[in-house]
Amino acid sequence: MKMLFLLAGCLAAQNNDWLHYSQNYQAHRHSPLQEIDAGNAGKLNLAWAYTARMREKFETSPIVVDGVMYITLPPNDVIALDAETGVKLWEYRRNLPPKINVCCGQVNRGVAVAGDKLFLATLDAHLVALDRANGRVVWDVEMTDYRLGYSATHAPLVVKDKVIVGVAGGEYGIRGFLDAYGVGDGKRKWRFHTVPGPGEFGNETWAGDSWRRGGAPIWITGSYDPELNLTYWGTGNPGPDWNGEVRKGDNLFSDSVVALDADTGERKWHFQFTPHDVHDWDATQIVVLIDKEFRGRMRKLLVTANRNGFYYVLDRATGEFLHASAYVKQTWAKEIDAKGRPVRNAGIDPTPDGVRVYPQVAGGTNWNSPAFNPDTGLFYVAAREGSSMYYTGEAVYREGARYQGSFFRNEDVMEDWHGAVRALDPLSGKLQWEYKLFRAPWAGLLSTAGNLIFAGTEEGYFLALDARNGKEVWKRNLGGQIIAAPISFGTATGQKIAIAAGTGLFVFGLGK
Amino acid sequence: MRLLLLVVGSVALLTAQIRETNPFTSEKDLAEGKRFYRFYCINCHGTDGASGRGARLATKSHRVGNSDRELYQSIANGIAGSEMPGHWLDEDTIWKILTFVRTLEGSAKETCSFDEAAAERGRKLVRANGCLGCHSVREGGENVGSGRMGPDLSTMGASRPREHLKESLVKPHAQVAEKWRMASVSTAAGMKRGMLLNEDGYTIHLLEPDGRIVSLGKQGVGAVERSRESSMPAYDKLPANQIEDMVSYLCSCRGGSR
Ligand code: HEC
Ligand code: HEC
Repeated sequence: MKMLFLLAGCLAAQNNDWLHYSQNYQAHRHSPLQEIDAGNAGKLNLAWAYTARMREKFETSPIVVDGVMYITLPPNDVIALDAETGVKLWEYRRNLPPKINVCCGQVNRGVAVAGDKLFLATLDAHLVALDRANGRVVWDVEMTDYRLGYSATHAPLVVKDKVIVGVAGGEYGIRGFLDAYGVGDGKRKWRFHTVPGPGEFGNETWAGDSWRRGGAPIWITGSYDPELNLTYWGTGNPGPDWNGEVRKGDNLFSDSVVALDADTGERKWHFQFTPHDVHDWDATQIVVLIDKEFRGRMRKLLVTANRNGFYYVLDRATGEFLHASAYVKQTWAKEIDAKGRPVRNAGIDPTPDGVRVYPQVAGGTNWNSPAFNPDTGLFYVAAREGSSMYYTGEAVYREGARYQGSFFRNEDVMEDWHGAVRALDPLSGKLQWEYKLFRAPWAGLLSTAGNLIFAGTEEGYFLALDARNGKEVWKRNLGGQIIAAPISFGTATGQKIAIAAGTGLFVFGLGK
Repeated sequence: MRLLLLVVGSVALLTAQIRETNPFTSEKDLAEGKRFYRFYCINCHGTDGASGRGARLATKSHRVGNSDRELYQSIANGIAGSEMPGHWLDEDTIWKILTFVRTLEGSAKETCSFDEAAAERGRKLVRANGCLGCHSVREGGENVGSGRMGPDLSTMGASRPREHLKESLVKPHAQVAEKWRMASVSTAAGMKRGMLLNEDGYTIHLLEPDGRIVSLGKQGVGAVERSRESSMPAYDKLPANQIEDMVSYLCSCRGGSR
């Protein structure tokens, strides 16, 4: 076991490490390691496994630094494992208050790391800094009162001397925000409200005082452009989800991407994918930053496959809309107009008797990570096909209680549900290849420099596909639903791939 | 919100903190509960809680238990391995529905009455007609049949009304739960038919009529033909009095201890 994890200060990125939720600030979820490739991936074997006792969904995306892997277990535990053998080094267990308000399980998706500290966002809406060497609490700050329906589930993002983190709770009438805390002292440095208050830009897009309970939570990690010093975050649904009557207007900045100055939290631009959403199509997908020539000019782009079924290309310096095209079947929009605003079809709003709309309520994709491979130049997405029945109903607000304005049903419309791993041209959104999946996936993707795409299925299969053509080169059934994204790292015995499945974390390598 | 809970196999565990007793029992709660019940439950449980393919709710004794907490859990999380789905509703709504379900208990009337002599004749007919080749049943705490191709019949009388049982015998395919539907697949070795235990991107598992589980790689098989029907034969050619007798027997199956 290596024992070099006591270094302080900044971490120099080693190829062997996996330092950010999505590998790099651009959120490519692409590993530069190339030992495992399409030629030898057929020989992948189990290197080690770690099994946990829990009944919740295992959504962690591990962080690997200097031979130590850090994972989170539901509800809010952190485990340090030797990356070579899987032997446990320490664990941090958080005692949570008895009643936590979370829509979708007491889950967590991972930690962030800076110097000798790890950062964990908690279900009771705290941000905790742990000592990387032993899991001891260095500081623990309350972001807000969890009893009002706030929680936190995503891996924070460290930018310079700040830890950036947002709050979930879009089904509980919260008012969303994104915070930045000092890495050293845990003091709050800025807060950006994803729902503007009176006098602030965009407040007029909320009827009456509906902004107070407007939602727009943040529950998936953002990205960062060091040159522009802008950090980009996707925001969630407006509340209540399926009843728009009580919140007439566009409802900024719900279902948007916001570009903020990383030092001050000041908004530079925003782009709203689904104005006045009534289908619960959070824009909490990973926003990927790529630099490419677009219509004859080198541009800094932001690309994302949105839950509403469209793939978008924006200019990330200005927020200018450049392109959108559907990547799954959708029946709600005639088109996305030249400004990026959807032109809606008639009869798509939820009704008391229900209306069938594509995509399904969980979207064309969801929080499950996409990947970008700079070598193939392709954008990869785990796509979900199918429709839901959307109903509307009354919305009565009570502190800390669900505030959804009705519901959806899927039972009767699941016949054509399925999924696919799709490779898209990043500029045109055109399909390059697809690998069909039997069910709509919740697993994220990993791209590697060995030209592989790793994917997971609902039935527990973990797959390696050739990134150039989608051909399956390897698969294993891991015996449990995969609701997490894979990562890749290196140890003394070579490149490894890690994935959480069921209640286990599995690590594969070529087994020398 | 990100995760819909009604997808196959992933019903959220909302069991963490559940109250012991129902806090929503006012007249207004009852009225709302009734409205919700009509929306979410009548398809399977009927307006009276005593018809349809769901368990009978118009009874004072529920298999899952009779406490508020136990019933809450069944409604919220569903009943594993059965058709009873979990419901992604907020806590208040579930409690209000339960308030209404409790009023059904009060209206519990006998919907599966039977006469001992008829039930005794039915007991013999059920054996003579080969029902126990597919069904399991316990009589007075003892296993008298152990078929695996159909649902257990031990508590039919406590949970199903007479009309439903009769329909099950003469028109068995009117409503068939997913789990019991038949499928056929063509393979190199000929046609295989059985209950579709499982299907994923690469394999199909069939439970064949003789009780064997076969695993078929998808490359080797043709299209899967899914039937909406189960393997339960229609007994519509039997004399009406024999049907009535077998239904009486089923009504007498009340799970031994109860
Ligand atoms: C798709 C059909 C279906 C729907 C919809 C449905 N149920 Fe059920 N329910 C069932 C079945 C089938 C059972 C019996 C399960 C078993 O085998 O134990 C059941 C069992 C139950 C039980 C346990 C009864 C006992 O005796 O243990 C309760 C309570 C119940 N349902 C309440 C509800 C309520 C309330 C709703 C609406 C919110 C509802 N169900 C919706 C099919 C359904
Ligand atoms: C070849 C197998 C087979 C035979 C033989 C068979 N059944 Fe069934 N039975 C099934 C299956 C499968 C189902 C479930 C699907 C359905 O309802 O059609 C079922 C359903 C039922 C039900 C409804 C159960 C419920 O949950 O409501 C009853 C009652 C029943 N059978 C009684 C009988 C009786 C009595 C006989 C003999 C006269 C019989 N079955 C013979 C396979 C069989």
